Amino acid sequence: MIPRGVSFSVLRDTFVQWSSSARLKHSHFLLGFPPEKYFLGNSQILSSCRHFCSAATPRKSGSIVQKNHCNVGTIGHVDHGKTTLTSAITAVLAKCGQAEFTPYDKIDQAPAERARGITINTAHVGYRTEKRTYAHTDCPGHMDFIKNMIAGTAQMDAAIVIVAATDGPMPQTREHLMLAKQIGLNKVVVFVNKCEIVDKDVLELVEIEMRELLDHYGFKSDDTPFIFGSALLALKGDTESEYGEKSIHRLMQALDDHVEPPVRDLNVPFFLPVSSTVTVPNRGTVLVGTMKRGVLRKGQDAELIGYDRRQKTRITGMQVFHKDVDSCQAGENVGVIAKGIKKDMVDRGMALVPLKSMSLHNRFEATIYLLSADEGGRQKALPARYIQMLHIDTWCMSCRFDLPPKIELMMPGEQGVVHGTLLCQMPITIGMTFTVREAKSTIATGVITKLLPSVDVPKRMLVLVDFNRVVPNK
Amino acid sequence: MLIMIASLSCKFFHSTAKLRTAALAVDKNLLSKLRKTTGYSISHCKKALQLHENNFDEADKWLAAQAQAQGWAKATKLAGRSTSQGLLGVSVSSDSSHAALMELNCETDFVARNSVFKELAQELTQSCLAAQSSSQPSGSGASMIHKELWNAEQVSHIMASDGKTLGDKVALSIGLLGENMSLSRALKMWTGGGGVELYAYTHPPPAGSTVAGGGVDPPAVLLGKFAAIVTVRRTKPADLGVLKQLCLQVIGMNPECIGTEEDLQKYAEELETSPNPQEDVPAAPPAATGEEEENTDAPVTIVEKRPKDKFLLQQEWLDDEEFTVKQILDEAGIEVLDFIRVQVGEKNG
Repeated sequence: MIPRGVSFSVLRDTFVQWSSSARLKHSHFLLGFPPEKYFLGNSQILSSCRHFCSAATPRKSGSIVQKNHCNVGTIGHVDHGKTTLTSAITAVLAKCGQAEFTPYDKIDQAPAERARGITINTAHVGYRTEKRTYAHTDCPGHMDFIKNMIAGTAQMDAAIVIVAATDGPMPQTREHLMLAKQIGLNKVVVFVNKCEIVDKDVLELVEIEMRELLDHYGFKSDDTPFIFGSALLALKGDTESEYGEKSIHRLMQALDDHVEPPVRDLNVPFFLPVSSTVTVPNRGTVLVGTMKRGVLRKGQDAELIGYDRRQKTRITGMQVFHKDVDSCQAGENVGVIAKGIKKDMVDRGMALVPLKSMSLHNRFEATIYLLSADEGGRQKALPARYIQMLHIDTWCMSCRFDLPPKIELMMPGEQGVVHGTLLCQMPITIGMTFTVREAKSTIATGVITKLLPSVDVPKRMLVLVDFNRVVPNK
Repeated sequence: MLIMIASLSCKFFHSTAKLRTAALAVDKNLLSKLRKTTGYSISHCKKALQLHENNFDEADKWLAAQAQAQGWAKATKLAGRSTSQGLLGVSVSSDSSHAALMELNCETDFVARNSVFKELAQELTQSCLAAQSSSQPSGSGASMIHKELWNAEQVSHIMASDGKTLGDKVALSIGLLGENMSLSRALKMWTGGGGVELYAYTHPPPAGSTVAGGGVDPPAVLLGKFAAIVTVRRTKPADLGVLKQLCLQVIGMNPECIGTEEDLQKYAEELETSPNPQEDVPAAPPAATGEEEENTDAPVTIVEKRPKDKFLLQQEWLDDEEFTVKQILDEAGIEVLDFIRVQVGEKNG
């Protein structure tokens, strides 16, 4: 439970502009899982939720009890019982007060979610175990999962692959496992459903076949837990049979034991994107932002980087929640006083990083999803040398997009790899998500997958860029 | 209780199974083998072995015989479920005179990516190309281009080379993949000769594809979510690269008409008569309900800045916007007579 010990009056202070709405919704989530309230629309919530849950530690102002958080999805054939299983999990855990029961028909009615302009067909429910909380995602199609990944709404940490014992793995189970690999999952849990209908020897065969498939697609099949059960029995409240509610408990146990949410590494060099500045009389310019990574300490040598520039500095003081602190870490909103930085040296989008810890880039490779016309995106294909405003975090900048040589065409509603070239060298990193807007509509969203050597932008015109004219990264 | 304990340990497995299902014990190895060779669901394979007392060949034959009936049964059962995903298949005969295009739909894009589904789509397209159209004129007539559109009903009655109807083939795959599928439409096109040729391409194309048409024998089948067929006449040797790019242009830039002198003149007249040329721009879609916070400005349909974008010949060449399509085609000696653009799941006849 979250004591609302964090005094919100503090938040009203102009010094630190904490996103109180996100914070509030986040606490709702841990308290009682009203899924509708929690998951609607705001794509930022999920990511910020994960952010806080996995990394933030309590501050003095309020002893926040943190639980581990994990995003889990179900993948499987349409008739193998994905929705029934999702419903069964909530039904069984509701008995222990660890979830709110979501009936079968409510799950299918889940509205298409709009996240960063994209319509994603997905159902969300939340539940928790003794060990951690789970946000459970169920998407009908491959593209929905991919959109989910690119939009960064619910980066999945694990998947439950469902296979009905009556049918065994289907031809398209291969596509399911390939998808899991594509969205970066290394671990899955297999739930063999409808076990009450078939004989034991059939179960054994299903397991053998599934393990072969898992091995084939690069999952460690020996480490992959198999749970034999029946979502239908569990949903009916069968406590006798091994396949009833017990199987759901076994599944939860397997998720708890097998799946490790990525640990936010506090030992990486810190990264603080500057979202605004405040001039405080007698103390100088304060850089305000939310720590993305690492730990920032008072007295540390740092650099303010961005827009082709680097400015050496030292951290002379910092505040979190209007209180002086000696260090701050990922997830915290902080105001930093950096020595020798004048207000006019700072632009939105610059980042404070340890001295010489990272270089600036103006070229990158990204996976993008082009919104379909129905979603308000383009009607036509992405033209060659497409130049548009790119929005990342706190900043935006002109960016040129080129299709890699092998890709002939990218249509609205499709996803693919593009190369982006920015007007200036910026502190971009792998994993950053961005959107592209045209005529007041979001037309694409993407995630940076690779940094490429910077190139010269002659006369500050992106059309003129010659990709062979590589310049050193600043 | 005994059964439950035994289930946890494979050692007791056989004896328990025998106790419970005395005469019906199925050889696990055979079951596994049968699954691998046929791909049919475990319950069907098991039934086949039970009925034929673990005789593999007999069971295999029985499954093959049953598959069609079971496929139809499954197809009937799933018939109500909507199929919005799928693939288009397009193929052009080796002399570039005939082309066929068909759409095969399924429920999820997982299945649309599966090789079983792709092979089916290829086979169906080939059958459509081979099928005789009902109104095939014997002596090439006045018109240069002939088109015939088949609806779902008509397509499913086309006979494949092995004597099965296309409907049977789809049903067979429904039995195997367990998802509803529909062969929703097909188009047959042919030219009356006289140097008029058909070329086709799809997007996204199978890896390493070239444009369909222009002497590939046997004709290759291209699959994708979008397809374009262009009808052209050439004065120079065929430049397959340009022809492919032309198809991509049609797919990507979705022109409304070719943009011949005639088209342009008609458009100019329309402009004069209609007071507001922007009238036909569709209204902005209604804003999504409530849950947008950041998008205060509701999504706006991106208005065509250049009215000429609707004419194929006046569009900028997708690969190099410094040239128009007309310039490139003139250079390559290609005259466009007609084009067709199809997208998976779009609703029209």
